[in-house]
Amino acid sequence: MPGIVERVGSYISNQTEASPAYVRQLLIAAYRLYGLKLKYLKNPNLTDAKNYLGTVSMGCMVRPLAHPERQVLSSIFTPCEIFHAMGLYPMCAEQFATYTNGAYAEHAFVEAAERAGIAETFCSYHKIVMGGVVLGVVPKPLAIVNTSLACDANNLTFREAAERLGAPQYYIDVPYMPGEDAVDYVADQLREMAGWMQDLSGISLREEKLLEAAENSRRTIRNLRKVITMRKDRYVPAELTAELYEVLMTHNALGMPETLRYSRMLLRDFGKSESAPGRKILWLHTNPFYQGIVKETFNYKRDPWIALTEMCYDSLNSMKDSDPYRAMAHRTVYNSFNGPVTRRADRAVRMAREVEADGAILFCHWGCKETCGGSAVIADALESAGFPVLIINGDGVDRKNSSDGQIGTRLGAFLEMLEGR
Amino acid sequence: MIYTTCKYAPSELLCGFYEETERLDPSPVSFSCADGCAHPNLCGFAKAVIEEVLARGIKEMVFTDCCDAMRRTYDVLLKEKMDFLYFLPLPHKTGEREIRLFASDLRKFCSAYAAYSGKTFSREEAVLACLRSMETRERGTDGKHVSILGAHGGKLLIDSVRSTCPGLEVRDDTCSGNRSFSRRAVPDFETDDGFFKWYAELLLKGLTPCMRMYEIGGRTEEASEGIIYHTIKFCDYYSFEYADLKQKAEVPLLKIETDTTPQSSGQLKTRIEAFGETIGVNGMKHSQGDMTFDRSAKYIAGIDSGSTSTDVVIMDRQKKILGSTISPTGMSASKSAAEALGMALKNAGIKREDLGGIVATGYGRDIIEMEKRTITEITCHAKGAHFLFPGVRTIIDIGGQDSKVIRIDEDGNVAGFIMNDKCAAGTGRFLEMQARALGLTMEEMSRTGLEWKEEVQISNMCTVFAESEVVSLVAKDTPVSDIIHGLNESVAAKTVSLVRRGKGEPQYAMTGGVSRNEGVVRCLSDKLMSPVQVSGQSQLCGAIGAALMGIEN
Repeated sequence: MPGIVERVGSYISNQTEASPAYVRQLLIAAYRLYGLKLKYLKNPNLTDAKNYLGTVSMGCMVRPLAHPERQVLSSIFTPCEIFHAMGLYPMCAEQFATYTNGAYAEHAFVEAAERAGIAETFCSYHKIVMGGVVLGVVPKPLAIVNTSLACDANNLTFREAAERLGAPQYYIDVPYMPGEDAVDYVADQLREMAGWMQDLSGISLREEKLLEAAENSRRTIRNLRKVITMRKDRYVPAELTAELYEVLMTHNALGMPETLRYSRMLLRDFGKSESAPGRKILWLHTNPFYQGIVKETFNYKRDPWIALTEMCYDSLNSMKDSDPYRAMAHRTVYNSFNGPVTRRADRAVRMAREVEADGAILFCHWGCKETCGGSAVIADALESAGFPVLIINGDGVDRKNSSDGQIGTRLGAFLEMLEGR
Repeated sequence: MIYTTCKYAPSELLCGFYEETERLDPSPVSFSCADGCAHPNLCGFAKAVIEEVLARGIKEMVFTDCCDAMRRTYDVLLKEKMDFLYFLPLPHKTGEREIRLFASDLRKFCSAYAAYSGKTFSREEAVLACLRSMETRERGTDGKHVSILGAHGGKLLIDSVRSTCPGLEVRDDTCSGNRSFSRRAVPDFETDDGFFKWYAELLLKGLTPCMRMYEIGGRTEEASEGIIYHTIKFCDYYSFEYADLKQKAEVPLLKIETDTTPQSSGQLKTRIEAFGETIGVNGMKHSQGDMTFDRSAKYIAGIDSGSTSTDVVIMDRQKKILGSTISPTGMSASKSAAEALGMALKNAGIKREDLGGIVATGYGRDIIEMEKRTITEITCHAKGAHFLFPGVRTIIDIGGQDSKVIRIDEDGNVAGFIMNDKCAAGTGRFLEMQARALGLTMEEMSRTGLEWKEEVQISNMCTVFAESEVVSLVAKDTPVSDIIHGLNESVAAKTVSLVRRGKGEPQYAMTGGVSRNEGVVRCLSDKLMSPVQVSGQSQLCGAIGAALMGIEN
């Protein structure tokens, strides 16, 4: 028997074609309502920081959806301090897809994209965004700004969305090989984009505001890195959805004062924790936060515990440069998702060592060639360093590409295996 | 010999070292190595490259940063201890900044190769190679040709098109084909730096851009006869261009998806043949084969040799059906066809020698060992459906092995068609597997599904995942009729998606084995918001069309 959220999702799905603007309003209302629930009816299973995280994340979705005239549609790896400093609202495309799944409405969006001719094998996050664009649920934003990092889907979705929505686009090309040449090149593009955005929006970018945003990012990164050192022997309850909220905090939401506040609260939570974790899992890539068996296994559990999610770590790079453009460029170019997969594998080993993980789970999200193609290399590196690895094939946002039964058996057996070690 | 995979590979620089290059064009029979050392969900070309490198023991290779799959292929091959394996970054944009950056990366590549080989780079040789690569683009001799666009199809696809449609001039405009620079002046270079900058610009701006570039203007020239658009499963780039092209193309457009292996050659052949029939290019006629038809004879036989059943219709020249039969195909298409033809003749009360001709269609049409002419099932279904349902403009055919949507004009000619790709989802096989999981026959399934009360959503379209979902629902005591309705809805949703992609329009008719499942037909009608016609003779549609083609020809 479907529950209330499923019924609402089904209703939304049925309305997408006839009245996309109405569906957008429904989604905004639903997210606002959920944001209020998170704010006033706190989840007792989570700490203050994680509860706060939910409300911040919800705001990052509602604001750009409700104010398309200030919205900058972006990819998850786009540095957004410039937009925060200008009072614009970046809307993370991947977050949009995740929230659509949360509203049980992804099916209609995926179908619309596939009907338009987008391949079934395309990344589901991007397919949902494309579905939203095709249907007209994604409004025409002020601008689209995206990076080439970290996958081909960025080169396609945003160009196509710009064309279909008639929105201006700025494309930030991130060179494949990290290096100082690449940092200069990306910094130049960010500077150019800032000028372009001022012309487009009529809003001035005040230098002190940008410096403040960059400083917020720097401090947030410093705090979150401190938290990582505490994760090996201190337990703070986790939840799959909250892990994804944190992915947003370590990417598009970097630079916001709320994100800095979250990092401080989290540092405090870990500082207070007296509880030791059970089996510690390093989770690589995104997670299927909606999937029953995975939720049952990990949400609010001390054992097994997701000690660290790769995507909350990939951009925690140095921002030492006093020039904010170079600092943002450095963080982006040296992201562990850039360059040969050996960089990602090396960082996975470093993460596993830092938290003294018992094992790692590598989630091969449907359509992600970057992760699927490199999965064997990453798994080899971790196993050579003594960390058992489970590779799971599934989908981060599309229910139809994932099977509870198949994932449940693999997950169960892997955790039993870790118990026996 | 240095091997490359992409047209942006700096082949001319390697000529500067007096080295030859070859772009790989692999077509392995399986991905047994690549699936293990990479992942099954990687594009077929990338997996084929891994197989080829391992099988041939290739030791020197240059990759360019053209797509995710090539990045990961390089990563996987790093473990193979090749003598020279290089990854060349490639900007997505083509402005001054990018040219400078790329020139610097080309110089680094040159230094790396010089250090590896101990050879000295000759700028003069590289320049000569650039001149040789200018304006070597294939063009149709009289401007009339069919263009293959999209992702790398290679020799396998081109040969398949040429052998299926002899006389058709084919141009390879895929991402790996037709590499040639637009002509431009060569300045006198005083230093290597000047040359690298010029060569960087030549590569970035002198080639027809592939879809991974940010600026993609000038990609699609109008092909005078038609376009075969090729995509590879798990290659993202080209479905986007196809989505755009199918709205704009003014010539017939055929989409083909392969995985670079020679599998599914039957499906490929059917589509290309039907495309050839649609465009009637270079005098290509609908029917092929060796049989001379006797125009004075009264009767024609149409045989539809499908994957599940072999259907035969005997028709007289007044288009009256005199006899027919539907029998299982079994292990031998040829034997089944001979037996089915015998039965149909018996039903019609005529002898084999009274037949003026036989037209065969379906997957087994070329395998059947008898004198005949052959026509693809696309054309025959169109003809047959027009005969059964004269007002129909869109035929939805869901058979055991595939599903297709055919648009027809007022005379029953094919106006366009689309088929699903190498997947059981949404086909008769999908329902058969679920019926087996429920312990029902197909007839019981069809009947029971009409008694549903509550909506049940089957979210998985993958046959295997859906089966485990069905088992879970049964375990939760969900009524079987509701589960079947959920399955019917799921097949209908998949089919409607195909109808929309194929630009289907009312009136609709359904043929093929699944048309006997009333539940699916009802769900389809609801989703299309238009009645879907079926006929007791729907399953004979292909055979009827074949017989009609025999009479009309």
